Amino acid sequence: MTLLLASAAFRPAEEALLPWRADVDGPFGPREAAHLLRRTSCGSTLAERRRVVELGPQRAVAELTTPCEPQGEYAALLGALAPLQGLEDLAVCQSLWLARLLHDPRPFGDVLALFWHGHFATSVAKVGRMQLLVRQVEALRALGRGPFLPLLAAVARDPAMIAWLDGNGNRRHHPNENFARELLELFTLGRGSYDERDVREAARAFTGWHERDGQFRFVPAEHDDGNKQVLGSSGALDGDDVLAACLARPECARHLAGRLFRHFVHGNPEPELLEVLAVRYRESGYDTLALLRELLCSREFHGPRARRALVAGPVAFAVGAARTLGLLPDCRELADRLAGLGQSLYAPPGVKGWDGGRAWINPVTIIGRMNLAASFGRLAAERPSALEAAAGGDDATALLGALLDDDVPDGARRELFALRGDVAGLVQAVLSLPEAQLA
Amino acid sequence: MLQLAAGLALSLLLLHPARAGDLADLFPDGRLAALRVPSGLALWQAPPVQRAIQLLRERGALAEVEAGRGALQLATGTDPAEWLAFLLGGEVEVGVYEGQASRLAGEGTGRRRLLAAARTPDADGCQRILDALLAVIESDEGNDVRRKSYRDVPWARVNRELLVARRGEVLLLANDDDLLAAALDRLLDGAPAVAPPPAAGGLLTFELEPELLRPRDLQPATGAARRALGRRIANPLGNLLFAGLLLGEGRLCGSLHAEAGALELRLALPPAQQDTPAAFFPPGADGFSVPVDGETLAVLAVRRDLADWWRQRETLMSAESQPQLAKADETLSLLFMGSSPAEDVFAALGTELALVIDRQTFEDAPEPDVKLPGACLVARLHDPASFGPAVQVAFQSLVGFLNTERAQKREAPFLLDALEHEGTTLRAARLLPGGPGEPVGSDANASPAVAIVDDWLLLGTSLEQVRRLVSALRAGALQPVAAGTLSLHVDGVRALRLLADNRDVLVAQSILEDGLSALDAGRHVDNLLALLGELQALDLSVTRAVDRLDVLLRLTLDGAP
Repeated sequence: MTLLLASAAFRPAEEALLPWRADVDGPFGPREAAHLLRRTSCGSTLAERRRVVELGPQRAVAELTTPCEPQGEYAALLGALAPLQGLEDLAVCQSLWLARLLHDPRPFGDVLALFWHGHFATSVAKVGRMQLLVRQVEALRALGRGPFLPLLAAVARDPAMIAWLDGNGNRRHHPNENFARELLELFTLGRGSYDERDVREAARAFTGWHERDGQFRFVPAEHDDGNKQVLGSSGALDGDDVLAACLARPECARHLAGRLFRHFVHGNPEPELLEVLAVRYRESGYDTLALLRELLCSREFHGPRARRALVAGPVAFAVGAARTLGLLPDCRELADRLAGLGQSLYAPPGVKGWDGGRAWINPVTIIGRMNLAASFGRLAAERPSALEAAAGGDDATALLGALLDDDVPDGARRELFALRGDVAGLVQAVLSLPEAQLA
Repeated sequence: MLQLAAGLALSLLLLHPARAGDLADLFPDGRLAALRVPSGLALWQAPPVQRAIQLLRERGALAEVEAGRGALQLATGTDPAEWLAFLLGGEVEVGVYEGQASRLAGEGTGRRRLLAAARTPDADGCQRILDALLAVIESDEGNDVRRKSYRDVPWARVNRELLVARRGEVLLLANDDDLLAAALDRLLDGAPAVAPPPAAGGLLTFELEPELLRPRDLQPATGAARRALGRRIANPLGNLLFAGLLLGEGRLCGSLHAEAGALELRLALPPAQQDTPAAFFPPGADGFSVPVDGETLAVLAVRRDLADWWRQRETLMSAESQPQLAKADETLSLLFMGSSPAEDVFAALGTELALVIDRQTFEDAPEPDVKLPGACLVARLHDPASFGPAVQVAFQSLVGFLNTERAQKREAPFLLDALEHEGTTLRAARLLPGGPGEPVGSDANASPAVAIVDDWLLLGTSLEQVRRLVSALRAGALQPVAAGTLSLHVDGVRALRLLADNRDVLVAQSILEDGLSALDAGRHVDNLLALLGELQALDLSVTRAVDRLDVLLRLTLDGAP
């Protein structure tokens, strides 16, 4: 293990990004499939893992990340849920998003939308109008895989974002810098890559980008069409020019590639690796799907540094466990529990989104996760056939294999085997293990 | 087979009729609740109960129960329903007692204790069934059955939770050692009854100490704290409707009755105290009439002195709700141009108040996904000529307030309008319509309106409903309500239509909350609607007698004469 870690640490960046080859780099079996599915789908059933193993890493990544129209039972489910979709009710909207994550046979679009929801963090707590948030997330879902510029342009015009960062107050004679500042600091470049003048000038470029009745509205009378200088570009810049100027800077690719890497691979990328990744991202025209596919196929992703290397966020933890065990929990109750665990969908805590990583775990959330594990245990005990179909059984061997790739310390294993016959207790115990909190 | 067993048990019971009060003698003093079933079989065979079971069975809702029954029959060779008919087909008596004192948390904080006694047709048969049941329970390795004896009476403990004993033809079940021992002592020693048995009559009768209804975090009601139960109802509407009914002291008695196509629950509440505010029992005739229309699905009618109730709000509602009540008082005063809500506004209303609930048809308005019923307050005005304009101005001001609030939230405003309908001017507020293709939110359920017809005030959430009620008043379509104190009538057919209007929403909710597939959720909701379709009407009435409050809850089922 130490040798492997050491060799990975010193592997040249390009080599770390080479596609994982089962004949050279190691096996690609159910464990590797489970790892890939944890990151792309939050969790997986045995059948899904078998399918991924059959396909091999490259074809599996292509299939898992390719958008497809909802079909069959999932399409019927979305149709049946449609009457609730227009409601101005946070709990209902949270439940609907969770239902998508739980039922979609290929939920990568929503997993990625959740990442962008944290990146472009916007909360209903200030926006007030739930449907604006729902429409924002629909845009993140639709554009999240594509080139970054259209996504960023959509976010800059997004009524929820405008309400969130006080766009209506950004007027020709009274520029409001909120959006411009977050654009530079959080959405594109990262701290230290711009100065206060860039913020002021960028804010002028977005003057008149308003929201009215839930729609984007450009108000020419409120737009400052004078000369500006932002990030080295100058002229009568408007908002789109500023967005392009941001993406033209190498720091933007570095910032975004770093965030995607840390979210989908592991938390400690070497600077050289990130630099290579950033160059490729920029040269591809910020093609996010291409970047993610390269990452998900890479040696770095399938190597030991990335396995169970991330703390699963509450949504990933709960959705992953439910998908793996074939559980269909009460989505309203689940949304409440997730809020208690620190991840309230459509209501991130601030402009920076969720801190993530170790911040997900504290004494309160540990107890919350155990309570969630207990409720999943009860649910699993009520539906043994679903558990059997998803995880291959209800004993300790099956559950450890399904949830933890059978990778637990001996002491914990002995305790779990002592719970023979108590399905609810067993599921609770496995999901409460420290290893189960990692993705 | 079930019918055969039931018939056998019934004939045995007829040979050995229950002796009233015998089983009650076994119960030590201090019951918080007592329940008596003169004949378990009669309860089981009551037409409404059988109809409900038949419907549940037809719709597969009893599949798990049937499976368990089949498994038990396979294990024992006997249909468990026969055992149940034998054991519980006769006289059954149940008692609930306060929990044992907890050394840590104090008196009465432990789990409530239960004792049940059933008189079976014969001792040998009872023992055979008991032995067979215990053997089945014991055969599951997860269960723990221990057999002991007390004063030569054998008894068994199942999983530390359930105690079972038989003496003669009497079967005793309890969840507490001392309680079982006390019952056996009384059975063996023939102790006299310590309390009169509940009044006879009906399929079952019961008595409850108000303590049992008291939330466990409240101290026992004494003196001034007696009002605590009423004060718990901090919601003003709930308080207005029910608080006055809960102010009496004494036991609550009730009985359940069945007839072809109807179930009736009769309750006698302790009488209200002398110092109960007049707000809840103003003088006046018992019944009055309210306008209804073709879409009316429920009428809630009360007789209350609103002005007196509002004056006494500080003593009638909890301290926590006072700031909000003070704010409401201030807002009402503002809406009515500085008038006093108690002395000028509520005092202008008669004591006969009704809330008429209608299904909305949305014939001339955008149809929202979630279709809510409209609700209209119906009241009589003492002086419509002077109070009518004040109400209309208050309505306009209220819409103005609402629009200001909605503008802050960037929500579509209401447009004020004045409409003529059958010689009456209606003031109404309708949502500014969205653009084509815009989703219609649940806000579209609201189109508040106010109308005054002669001395009738109609203040509703739905313009279409207020229009219909104006027509009803003009046509003299009034429905008498027996509102001595409170009455509720729900039309099952129309309520079902409202639910059917929202079927798709219910299906979607079922998917989200029950984890069902779209197909299963559709079936689940359709089953539920079919079950509710059996309810023709629900009627609740509360009337005041000299020594009690009579509550009558009647469910009229489909097929009732």
